[in-house]
Amino acid sequence: MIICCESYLPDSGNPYLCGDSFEPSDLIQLMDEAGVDYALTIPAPEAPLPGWEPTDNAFLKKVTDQHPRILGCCHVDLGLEDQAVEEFRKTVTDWGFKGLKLSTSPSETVDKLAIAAAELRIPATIHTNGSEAIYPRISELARNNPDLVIVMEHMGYRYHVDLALELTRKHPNIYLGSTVVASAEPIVVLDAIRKVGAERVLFGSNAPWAIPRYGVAGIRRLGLGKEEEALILGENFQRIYGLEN
Amino acid sequence: MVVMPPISEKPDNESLADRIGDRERLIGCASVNPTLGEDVVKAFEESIQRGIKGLHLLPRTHRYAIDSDLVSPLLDVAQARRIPVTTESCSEYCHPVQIANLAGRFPEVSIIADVGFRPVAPPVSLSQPEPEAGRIADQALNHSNLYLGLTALATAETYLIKRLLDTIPVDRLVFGSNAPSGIPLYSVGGVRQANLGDEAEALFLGETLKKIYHL
Repeated sequence: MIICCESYLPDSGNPYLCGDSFEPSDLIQLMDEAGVDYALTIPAPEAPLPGWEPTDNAFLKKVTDQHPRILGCCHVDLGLEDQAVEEFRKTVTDWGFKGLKLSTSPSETVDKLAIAAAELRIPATIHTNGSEAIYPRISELARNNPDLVIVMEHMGYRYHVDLALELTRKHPNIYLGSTVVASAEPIVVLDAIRKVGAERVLFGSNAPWAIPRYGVAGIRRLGLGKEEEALILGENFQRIYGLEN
Repeated sequence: MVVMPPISEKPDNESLADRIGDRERLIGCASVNPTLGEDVVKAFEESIQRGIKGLHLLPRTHRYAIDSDLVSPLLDVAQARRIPVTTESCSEYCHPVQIANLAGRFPEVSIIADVGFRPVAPPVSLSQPEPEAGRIADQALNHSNLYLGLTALATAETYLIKRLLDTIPVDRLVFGSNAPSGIPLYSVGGVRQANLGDEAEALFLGETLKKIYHL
């Protein structure tokens, strides 16, 4: 079983890889190429390509209804404040979404979303890279919400992996998403596994922005035992997201 | 393939030169930590005598500002010996505006900013204003000696190569694999899947670096 912890469903998609439009079937095709069974999928409301509309949770809902292998991950506009929290709750309770993409902005709405996610037992996906300034905020969210599972995507790659590992050791509710790193520099994933344990690392592809088959191949060439490889590629996700059955 | 020594506080460029030996396909690039004192400049010059053809600076790793006076003696040597410089590019110590400052001070030196994985470098957030630290693609437009090394992105997010090409010409982008921790098979595969076109692909995959290294 292979489950991707971070993929996207844009409307325009990746015209450089998939043609001028991007359909859910294109994402399924990328998953099939890599042998991915399920993919936690986020709409793409930010940075749409010129001439294309961003996608939203409602769009994703229609897609998850048609394609059960695509698991919904809610992404809300923080500017909507309490309405954003309500939207998140609705995506989980009414639409069956499995995840929340959470910002590290110092916003009251983010705090409320974190509380709601903990209540609903929905893991939060947090993007990391670029600035080291975000790590104290992630630590704060983890500390204030011990029941909230946080998946730190990209595990601090490229220059802050040490900080991501430090937080993972410090907070038992933090996990590392190997999205992008698995294909770009798999040895970094291996180092993380050795430092925090295989049960704390998840496979992610970042499809369609990245190429899932390279990510899966990157994990497979680490020389992990069958047990550890199974944990990284899917079992950790199943356990954390409550999909064992 | 441009090859650097393992990253450490005091990179071992002597061993690098020894291990490369007379292998023509491997091009030695010395990593130098200028915080270790003036002796590193002399050591760098000696490594050039031994066939090293590039200079690698790691301001984020070694914790100094890339546009500080600390690097000037090394850049003076690079300029005099026509040695290209590769630098880390990050949000600390070597953000795009700082790298552009260096490129402006040494216009005859080719500087490759290794943009790593989607840092402040490419224009990824098109709907957002340019950050104070700048975006390397925008800075490269103002400095003809500034190139972008897409070492991790080539594999991880191929589409960003095409996105960058909306901003700057392809002959300002340089391919890197990050081998052996990166897998060249994947990075070349990612580039080829981007369908850049034969001419652009050739420039990105090698022709531009060939020019930069005077090969």
